[in-house]
Amino acid sequence: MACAGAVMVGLAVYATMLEDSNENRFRVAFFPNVAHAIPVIGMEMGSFERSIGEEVNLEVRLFDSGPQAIEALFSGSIDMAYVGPGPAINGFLKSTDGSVRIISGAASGGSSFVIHPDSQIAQASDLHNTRISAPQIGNSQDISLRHYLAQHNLVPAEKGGSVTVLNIANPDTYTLFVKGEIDAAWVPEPWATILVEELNGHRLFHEEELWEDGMFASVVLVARQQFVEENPETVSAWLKTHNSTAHWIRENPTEARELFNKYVESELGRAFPDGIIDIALQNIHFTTDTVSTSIDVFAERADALGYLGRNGYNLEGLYMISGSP
Amino acid sequence: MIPLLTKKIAFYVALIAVWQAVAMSELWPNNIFPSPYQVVEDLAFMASDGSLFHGMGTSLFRLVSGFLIAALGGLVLGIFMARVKIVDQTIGSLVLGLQSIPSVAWVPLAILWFGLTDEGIIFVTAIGAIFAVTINTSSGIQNINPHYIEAARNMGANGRDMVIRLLIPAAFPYVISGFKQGWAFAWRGVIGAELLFSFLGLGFLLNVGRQLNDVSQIIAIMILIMGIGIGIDGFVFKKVEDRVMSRWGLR
Repeated sequence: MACAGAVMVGLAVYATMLEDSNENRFRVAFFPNVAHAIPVIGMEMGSFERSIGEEVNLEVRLFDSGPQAIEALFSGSIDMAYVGPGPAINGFLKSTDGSVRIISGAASGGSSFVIHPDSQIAQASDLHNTRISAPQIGNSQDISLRHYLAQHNLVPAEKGGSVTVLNIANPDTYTLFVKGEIDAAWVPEPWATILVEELNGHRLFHEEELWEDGMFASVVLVARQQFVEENPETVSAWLKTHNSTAHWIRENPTEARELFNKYVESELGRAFPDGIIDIALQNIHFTTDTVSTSIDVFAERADALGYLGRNGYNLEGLYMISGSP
Repeated sequence: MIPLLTKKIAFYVALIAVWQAVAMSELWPNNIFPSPYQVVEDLAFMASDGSLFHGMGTSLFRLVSGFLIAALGGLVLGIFMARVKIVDQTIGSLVLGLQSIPSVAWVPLAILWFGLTDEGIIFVTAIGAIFAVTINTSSGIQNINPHYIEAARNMGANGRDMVIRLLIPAAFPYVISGFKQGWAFAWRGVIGAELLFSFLGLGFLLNVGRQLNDVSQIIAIMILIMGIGIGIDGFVFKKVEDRVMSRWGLR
């Protein structure tokens, strides 16, 4: 009995602690990837903390995949996340009444199709009977890869075709590339450059070459609508720093690389080689433009792949940008 | 008296009706709690693009391969354990220990040893099932009336005759229940491994549902996994077991 009582009291205390710490909490998620340089560098410079003020408790959550970040937004364990357009669209459509919405763009471009040095792939028609890796299902590179396959009349193995698509985390792609167990990989930076520079992979193309004007959304900023409505000052302070950081990165690539690596080293314990990050940064355009035409295209492709449910989709209300409802 | 079948059907109809009612009550949003209709719709969709059948085919292929390895390996190991004292005293204790490892715990090792391949998943399946077969076979043989063995020896049975014509037939009821248990472990092992490998099969389709926040696909695949489990258990193992039990005069 005494024991049960202690547990009850403990739980009650814990619950109150949770409630207290919920006050003025602002939880942002992003990935330690180069395309996420805006939040990474902004955090390292301390500019986000400065702009949102001391009353707000800023908490950072590092993720490795967009679908995972969207799950966390749904469950209310984060308020805002930097994700690719695939998860952003899926998140908006699957959330109750479209409560997960895009509030800004963050990056354009920055993925590549890299071929293993032992593989003879030179064009799409050589992809029969190959194993290709991409990040999680429904992620932007996965959508691009599967669309590319479909465009060239190639069918993935789970539908009885000859191309095996392995949806695995980027570090695992690296491992399989080293062991020679995959023929190609459709990956974001810095992994694409790492495969090329460290493992002698051959970059068949940059994904931006497949897009009109060479621009496509690769990272956007999404947030829970309720949080934005309840904390307009915090969100606009964040966006202001978000914009200025994008500008700063474009102007100062060398310093950007240093800060990026400093952050990654302190969070993950190991930085990327400077040369890799320099190339990766050049391959990405940091912009607050959502490149919305490309988001429409991503939605069409995701729908064609059966990712958006069976009943069609409607992107109306996807954006919630600068005061527009 | 209401016949058993009627009771069963009534129960499932009621279950689906309650499920549909809860889904329609909008207690939970239907992206989290889909209706039975949406689940069936998802099954139909996966069937129409072929992914359902390829998923089933892949999983069943891995299941059967893994199970055959486990059945054969378990039988051999079980016989040795029962007949050779030193094997029982040494390997026997290890087998008991290994049996307590859930098969998915072998996945990390399988990924490193075999990479993302069918062999890796078959390895996990086989290793999850083999010890159940081993232990059952071994206790089946240990329970054989020692007079039978002495009689066979007196009649000049050599090692091979002994195994094929005496030990296995006499221990068969145990062996069959070992197979049945091993099969159940194997099926869990396949799905668990596929979930973690995320490399084709029904486990992969479960993962797709998760990544796309598609709860109705997840439930559809779970129902299919259950269906296949019940199907093979009821139509294959139950029938074989019943026949063996009545032929050996145990029922």
